[in-house]
Amino acid sequence: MATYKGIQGYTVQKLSDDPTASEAAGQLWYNSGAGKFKVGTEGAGTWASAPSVNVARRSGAYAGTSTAAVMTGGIGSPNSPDPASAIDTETYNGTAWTEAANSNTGVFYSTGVGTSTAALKIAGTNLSHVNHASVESWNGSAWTETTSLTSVRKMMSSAESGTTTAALVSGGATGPTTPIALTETFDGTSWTEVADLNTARKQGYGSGIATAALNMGGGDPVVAVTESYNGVCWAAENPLNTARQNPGAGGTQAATVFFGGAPNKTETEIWDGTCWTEVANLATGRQSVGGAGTAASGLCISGYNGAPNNVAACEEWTDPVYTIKTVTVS
Amino acid sequence: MANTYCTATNFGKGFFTHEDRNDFSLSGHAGDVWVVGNNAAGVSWINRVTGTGKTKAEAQAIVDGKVEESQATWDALPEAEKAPTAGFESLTRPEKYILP
Repeated sequence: MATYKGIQGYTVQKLSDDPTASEAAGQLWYNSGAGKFKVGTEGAGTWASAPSVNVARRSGAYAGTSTAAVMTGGIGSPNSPDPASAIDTETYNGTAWTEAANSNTGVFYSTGVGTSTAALKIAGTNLSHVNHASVESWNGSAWTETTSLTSVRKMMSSAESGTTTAALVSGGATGPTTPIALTETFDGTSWTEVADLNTARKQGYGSGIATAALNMGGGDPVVAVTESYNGVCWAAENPLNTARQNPGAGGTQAATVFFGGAPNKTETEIWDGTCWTEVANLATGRQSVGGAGTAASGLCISGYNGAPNNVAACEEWTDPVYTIKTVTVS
Repeated sequence: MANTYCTATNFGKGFFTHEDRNDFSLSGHAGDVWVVGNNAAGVSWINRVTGTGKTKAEAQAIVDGKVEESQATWDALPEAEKAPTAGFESLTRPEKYILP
């Protein structure tokens, strides 16, 4: 009978405690404490349930990572913007969402940039359905008015991993519906109009930073278009597999996870710097969601799924998924 | 049968894990209805989250009821809020669908 050493060239390690799941990938060991053989596996990326937000909403402003995020504003009731949710702010610490200081101007269809302790809430539509150019800055405890965009707009995309001193927004709509291609950058002091998107659109989603960004999807009409920004101009990239608007995303210009979208989509795609690949779906389809984090560790925040109310549940993306399994005989 | 059905309340982190998602198919629907891949891991998950087993017809009826509620909510909205020209995102009247 063949032995493990005979096959592998070494004996099975005897450990009192399991290694971390990522260290254990591809390994077999004997856990002397548990008296069990165990193996470490590396699986494909998937979504897992995450803590629900306190105020279910869609179309707010979002920033941060999968374990430290902030969101503010948005539409809290099924289809009618309300004053309370339009200024409501929550922060996430990886364990729970907590109510935080309200923003100053109630808006929805805005966008966010930055981290959970240093973020911008950019433009949007107010409760009178008037589009704004106003921008507010978050310092981890309060929102303060800062320099406005040069143009009013809503439903635009941002380079979500940008900072409060290096931000980028593109597309959206200045009026009720017609999409625009306008792009602006912020240096911490003023906004400057730079090269337009090649395809005007609104209700897409952005990732990356101010000098290396992606703008994906959007409408109207619904497109699968992906464009990358290099700090000077936008270039066409390979399109999404599924055209959609009102999605969420998180990541960089080189690696982004892109998910959800209208109508109540579950589809998720990963960008590897060159092309998009279909990966595991969200458990609950939704649109007008928030996105945060990276292609390796992302967060899908709240949104609308056609039920009588917005969905409060969040999901967290991990790729790859490392797992430790006990060896059993059956 | 490829799927089994239950109702269960999503309690957030740990309700379903990455490992769960690799072990069986799972999709959430209105009314806390979950469509679960019908294998040992899926059945074990239903027990872990204290889900209540449903037949497909029962699960479909729950979802249909919630969609009807949603349709009534939608129908009661002012016409201006339903029209895309009002500048809202592209929401449409919820429609019934067949569970997988």
